[in-house]
Amino acid sequence: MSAPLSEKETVAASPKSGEAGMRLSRFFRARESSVLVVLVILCVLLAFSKSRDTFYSPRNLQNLALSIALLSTFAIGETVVIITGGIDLSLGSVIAFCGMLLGIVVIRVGESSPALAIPTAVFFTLGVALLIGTLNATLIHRLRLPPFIVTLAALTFFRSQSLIINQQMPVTLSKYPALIDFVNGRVLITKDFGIPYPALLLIFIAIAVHIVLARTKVGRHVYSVGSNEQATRLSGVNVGRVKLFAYGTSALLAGVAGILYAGYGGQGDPQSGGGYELNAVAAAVIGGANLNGGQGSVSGTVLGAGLLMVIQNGINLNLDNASRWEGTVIGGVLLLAVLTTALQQRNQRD
Amino acid sequence: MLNRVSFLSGLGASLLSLLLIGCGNNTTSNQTSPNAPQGGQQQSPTTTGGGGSGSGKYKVITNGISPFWESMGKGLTAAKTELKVEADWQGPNPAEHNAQVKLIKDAVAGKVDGIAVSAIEADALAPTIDESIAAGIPVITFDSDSPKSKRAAYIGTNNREAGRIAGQETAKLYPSGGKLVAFVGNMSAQNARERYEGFLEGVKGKNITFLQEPFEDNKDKGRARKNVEDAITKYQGKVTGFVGFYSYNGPAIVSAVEQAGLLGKVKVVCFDGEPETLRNLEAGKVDVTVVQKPYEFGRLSVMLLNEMKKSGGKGDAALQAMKGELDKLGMKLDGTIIDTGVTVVTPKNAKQFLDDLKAKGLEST
Repeated sequence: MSAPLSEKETVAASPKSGEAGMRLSRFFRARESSVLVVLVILCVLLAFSKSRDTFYSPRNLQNLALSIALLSTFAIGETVVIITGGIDLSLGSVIAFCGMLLGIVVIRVGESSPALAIPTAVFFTLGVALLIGTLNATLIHRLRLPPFIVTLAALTFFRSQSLIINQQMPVTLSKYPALIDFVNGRVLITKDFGIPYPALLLIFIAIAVHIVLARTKVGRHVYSVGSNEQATRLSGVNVGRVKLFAYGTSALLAGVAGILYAGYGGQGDPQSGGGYELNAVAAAVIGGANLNGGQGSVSGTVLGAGLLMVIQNGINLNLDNASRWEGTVIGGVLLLAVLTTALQQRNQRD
Repeated sequence: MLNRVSFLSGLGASLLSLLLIGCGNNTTSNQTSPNAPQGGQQQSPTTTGGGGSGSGKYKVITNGISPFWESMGKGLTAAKTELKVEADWQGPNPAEHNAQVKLIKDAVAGKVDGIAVSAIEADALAPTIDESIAAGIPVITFDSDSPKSKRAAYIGTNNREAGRIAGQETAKLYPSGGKLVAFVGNMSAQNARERYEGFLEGVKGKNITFLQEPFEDNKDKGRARKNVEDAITKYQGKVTGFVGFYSYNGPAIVSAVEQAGLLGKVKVVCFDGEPETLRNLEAGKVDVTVVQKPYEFGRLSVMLLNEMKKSGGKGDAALQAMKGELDKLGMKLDGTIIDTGVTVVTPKNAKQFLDDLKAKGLEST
């Protein structure tokens, strides 16, 4: 019953086959560079647009960095899941749920010991996020349920829990400005330009996840599970563990994003994050991730998120009824990205 | 080994979720109020002691779920307790027309004595409303009307009027004119357009203009704040004030304005009374907000439905019977429409307003 000759694909992910690995990495590099080229062209075009002064103003670049960081934080998690051939639809709801949890715990703990409130709430929230990821992975792997349905169930479940947990009311963080200040704060580079803290956090997260994906065994297994799960299992890899890593990372980063969005909005908000999972999928796919699994990278996704946010920002600064056009442009870019991936794949096969 | 670990932790997560359901006040459906002891008796409709004519059982259906409806729910509970009747509210999930139709049909099938609904699709809901009236169950609308239906009455804010009042209040903030940018969920929504048009009427001739059409965020709150940031970038040095037409736009404006260091340099005008907006008012970060009276939507809806039950389903008689109460509240009755009016809140009267809310057990409106 074993799939004949399918080792060929798994071999690509094994450490020994340097040649195949190099081809793979060259391929990814090519994809990322094409996104980068589009991004650069767009930025150059914006220099000739109505918004040339505003787009390049320090304040706007700072805002842009923040919005890219917020989106990339959880899009990176989604990417890891997509590489395994799965999908995580629960991100938006987990973001809202974690924001609410943070707000509630910070207030509860703050009543007795204000100094411990923030660290306790952050750790508790991230712990719960990790549990959610574990639960998703367990249902998907142990019970062989489709990721689409499991995470769809999580999407509706945690949205409803976000509403129930504080009787549909948002939880203000105004008594704990440190959380708000972190998201809005920045490391000053010049007098009026600084790098937002969440962008620094993103750099840290991106490097960490990149290293795991590119340099560790579990990272290589993430790719090989996505390329051919059965062959990977037959070669002795613990696939459950790989999925645990993927969905765990995804949920954990959604938890981080939940905390960041709560700081961004000044409150845990049961209705935040609606549809954000699809933004994450869009960023990943633009960055070269393949929904069939086996392809995708952290840098591609961050670039994809960058492209999405620059488009959004550029339209907002140039057009008066911006959000109506945004869908048209982003839809077009997305289609173009998928088309490029498909063509590249076809070329490779030929 | 690891598989077992992951399975166990999965089990842990599911237990945790169940625990969370447990602390969620047992509200599987949105029963009026978490602290209303009657809530638990919902399943045995005949147990509540009622007036002479047998206690009524009413269903209030919103257009979705938000803090705004929480205040409505408190008003509903107040009326329910006062009149010794049964009433609960529910919001369609997802917040869309078809889900709302189903809620109405369910209520009709459940043989309630009256339904109050905030229409998501004004015209499309009319046949469903007429159907339940034909089945002998009175229907009124609140918050968002369905004028083409046979509904007996409408209780709500006149959004155009609310916009006009906000415009007039804004004009007071700018003795020598101003240049504004506005934010909204969707301009295609009836209430958004009415507020916007009303606002333009209110500032007419006062040299106050909008620099562009309102920024739209499709009710995405992250996006709402991003829009304000972009507006600040786009119109830096030109813009002198921001208007948020939807409740959540207020907090989004304040966050972005504060971050850009423009507090006090620009004016902020909001609609509705989200908790954050009310706090911002107290802190002087918002210059004016125009709030609706959702508490009264809930209270008056139950009262009116109860009057209709008493008068055998006659809307006119019931509305006349409400006259005294409406006069007391300073509300106008115009035909079948009860205009609940708005309250203008500024930093000056913010404290008083908040104290009044707290007296009703509310933290937002």
